[in-house]
Amino acid sequence: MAKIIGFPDKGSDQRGFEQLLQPHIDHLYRLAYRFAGNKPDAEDLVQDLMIKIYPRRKELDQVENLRPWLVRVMYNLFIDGKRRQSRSPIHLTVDNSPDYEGSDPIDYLESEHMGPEEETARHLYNGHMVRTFDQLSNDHRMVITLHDIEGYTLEEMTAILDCPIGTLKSRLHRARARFRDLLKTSLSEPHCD
Amino acid sequence: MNCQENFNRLDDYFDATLDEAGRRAVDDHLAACPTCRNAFDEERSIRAALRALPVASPGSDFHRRLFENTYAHHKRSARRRYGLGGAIAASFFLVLASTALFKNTPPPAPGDRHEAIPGMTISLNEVSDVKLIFKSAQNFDKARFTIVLPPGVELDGYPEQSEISWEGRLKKGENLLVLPVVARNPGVGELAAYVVHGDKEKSFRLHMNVNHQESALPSPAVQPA
Repeated sequence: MAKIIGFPDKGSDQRGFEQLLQPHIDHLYRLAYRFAGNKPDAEDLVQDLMIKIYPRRKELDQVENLRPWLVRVMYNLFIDGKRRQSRSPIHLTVDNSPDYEGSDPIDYLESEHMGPEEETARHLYNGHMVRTFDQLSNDHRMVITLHDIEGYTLEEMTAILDCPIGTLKSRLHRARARFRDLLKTSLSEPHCD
Repeated sequence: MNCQENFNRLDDYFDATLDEAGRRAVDDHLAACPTCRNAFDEERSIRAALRALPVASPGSDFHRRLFENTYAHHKRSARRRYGLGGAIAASFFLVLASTALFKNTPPPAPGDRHEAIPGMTISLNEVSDVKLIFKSAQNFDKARFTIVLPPGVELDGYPEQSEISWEGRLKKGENLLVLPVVARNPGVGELAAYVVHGDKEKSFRLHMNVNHQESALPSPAVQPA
């Protein structure tokens, strides 16, 4: 077999890529989960992001603030995926109930002194929150996730979502109002798990 | 401040974008109005509950799988681009050849253009395939191949390597070499391919124009304020 000579070591290239990306993966996965609403799609979204940016790995260390840049690329991938799905005649339905698989349920208890009734009430309330959150439009879910859940500033979000700050503020305001309305409706309706 | 005005300011209050006077006005109103105080407490509890929304942990070895899948994906892509499912070495080994090979013609000097040089335009930071077709009148067991890339252009997966050489075998007939190239800087230049056997050499040149058009990824220069 012919032997290739003169090619650089790809191992060091990959190590550099991993060192750069490792600190952001948990955060990206958490965001992806908020965007997508379930574990398989969240994992796929982060995987798609990695595949997308790997050919441009040399540029990544030039990015001054890598995390918002990665979030922006992932957001674009998510939106592109949603557009493709909306054009497809095949639709996938996912279970919107809270997904505790692989997680320690104790992580979701707010107080270690919570009694069984409070715990049940909290669990039910969380169920309403999750269902309500999943009913939001992509735009509304995105701004609430980034700002109210993950703590991104409006200035950071202008770069991530490529949107003027005034538009973001009013979108955030509408998203919260919508969430409150949906939550009120959800809490007033009996729900069977 | 009436209740509606107070309600309209709650978002800014929670976002800490109110000035000191505005914040004090909301505080004063909340202290005096139980209805608005209840609405405020409810809003605060909703935000706390949102932050506490559960996120299912990813599957085991998620980090490791992410990177392994990424490398495997790009390895498969590279193999497809080189036209074979085997090793990259094997792909070069099978596809390179040349007809007018080995005629004792010296490599053309820079600027010495006896024939029109073909050209192609590629986009910045986008993988493009450069396809070179060679015909060979016979098989050659051993030849040396060299690809010289223009400034700012590199072979995908082999960063900062402007010249790549390897040894391989040529087969009789028409053969194809596909080079996945990525331009890192706009500009123009020439890609040169050399095939050498003993003291004989055949060269091929391609004029490359890299336009300023970016690929779909946002520019790394775009940063949050």
